[in-house]
Amino acid sequence: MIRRGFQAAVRLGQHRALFGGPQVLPRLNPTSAFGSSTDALVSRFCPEKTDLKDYALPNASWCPDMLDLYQEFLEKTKTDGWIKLPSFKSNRDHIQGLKLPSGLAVASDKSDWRIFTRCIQVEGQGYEYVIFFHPSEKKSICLFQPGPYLEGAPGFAHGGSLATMMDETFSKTAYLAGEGLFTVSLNIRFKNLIPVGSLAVLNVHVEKIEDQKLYMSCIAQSRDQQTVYAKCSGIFLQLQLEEESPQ
Amino acid sequence: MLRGCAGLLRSWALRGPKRGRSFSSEVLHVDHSLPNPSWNEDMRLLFDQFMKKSEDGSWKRLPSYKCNPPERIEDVKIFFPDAKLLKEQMSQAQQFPRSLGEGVGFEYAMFHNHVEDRTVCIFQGGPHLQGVPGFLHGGAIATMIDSALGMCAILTGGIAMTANLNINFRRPIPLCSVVVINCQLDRVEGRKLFVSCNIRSMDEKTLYSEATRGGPEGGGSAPCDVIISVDYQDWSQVLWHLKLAQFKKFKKKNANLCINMSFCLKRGKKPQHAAAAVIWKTRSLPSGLCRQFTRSASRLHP
Repeated sequence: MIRRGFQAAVRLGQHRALFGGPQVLPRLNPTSAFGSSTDALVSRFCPEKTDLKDYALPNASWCPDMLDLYQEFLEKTKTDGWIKLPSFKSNRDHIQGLKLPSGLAVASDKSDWRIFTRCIQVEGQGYEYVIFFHPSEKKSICLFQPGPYLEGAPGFAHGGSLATMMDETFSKTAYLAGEGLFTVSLNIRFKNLIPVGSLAVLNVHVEKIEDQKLYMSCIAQSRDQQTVYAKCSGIFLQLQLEEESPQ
Repeated sequence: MLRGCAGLLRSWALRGPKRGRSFSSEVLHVDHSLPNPSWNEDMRLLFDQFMKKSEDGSWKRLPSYKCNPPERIEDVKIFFPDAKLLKEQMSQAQQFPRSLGEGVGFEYAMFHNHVEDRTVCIFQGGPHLQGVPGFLHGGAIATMIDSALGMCAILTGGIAMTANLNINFRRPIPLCSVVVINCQLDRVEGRKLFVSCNIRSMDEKTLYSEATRGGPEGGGSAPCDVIISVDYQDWSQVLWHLKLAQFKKFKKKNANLCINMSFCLKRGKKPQHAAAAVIWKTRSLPSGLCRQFTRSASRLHP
């Protein structure tokens, strides 16, 4: 299983989606050996050598807090078992060689489709974020800095932008911790507004995995943990991706 | 003063910012809730349907601009005097759902019915809102829900900020498809406004998600534990199956009971569906009544 995972990671193929309309989500087959291990998923998710642009790297728009924390966690990737997740233009780039279960894949996969959190390409204007994942403790940290294009109330980030960031962090954590694919529910309690251009640290934990669902919780707070911006609990559905048939 | 602010905000929501104010670019005065070349056929069809409904005055299209108007900025300064609204950032800032380019992000238009007191938003998600390949990002859906419910709350209650957002996703929404978000105000408790919505496909046959949003938090308990949506053929069936009279008697004895029934009845020559959303706190109801609800609901909506 792991060998197959590594082989697929090395293979650089073009992926094509199956044609078919979306139907009711398929149930996971409980008799099949469930899923790849976290290590296999991580190795496929974070290809060592790739031509794809990684957006989760520091740039001129990052505030000093964000740069400091980034360096701190980069050190921890060498010592404490953390992994920095790359962030590509589309989720499809993370799952090369895999496809959605038949019945879910949609028609025509256009190359101009991008992941929502990387839609605003101007540096510093939209989502500036980086996610660090800890495989053994099944937890993540996301450093998030909202730009001026994410404004809701004047001077503060839109509630939806924080919801998006939480959903995105949940999504990456759920996939790597247990092949979680789709959001089932999100329950967000907003406490304080995030000023545009300031840092928010999102801590995500996987509480439990049962009944084909992953239960996660998240707290978004300032760097010094004095201000809590929001608390959220999310449930993700586990679904195994299928290997693409060799062309 | 507060009432004045609320009135200002409501009039802004309905009419849009005055022209000739401080924004430098002409582009920022453009009303984006109007058809543009990126809208597909379904979106235009829905838009025309709602514009037709607006002719008798019950429905009204809500304009939508890229930037917050100066009045709203002043209002926020009143409530958040410590906010450091840097001048540079203010000039660059754009309302989030409108900050993506034409056709690639959020294409939407909102309509408000003051008679039925509900808001409808027609939404087409563009190719830059992807999550799982081929489907809309959960966060994009959450953003749209927050915007639509926020507008619904503002129109009814004045200035409002989101305190709680609770979304149940039922089905993934394919990218570049058109959906209808139906929002309504459920109840008002002091400073808290409880609004709820559901997202359906154009033909209303597919339910994509349901959400509720609570206004400013005051240490109150979560309003919703269970949400059931059922389609009823006739309102008399609703009354009979839910034993409304019995329920009302129960409600009188228990002031803290949170029960809210909101329904939409369309009368016409053909029998119409009446949709009822029933929300209750299960621990406040005796178990017998809970079972009755569940049985009635499952009989009508297997």
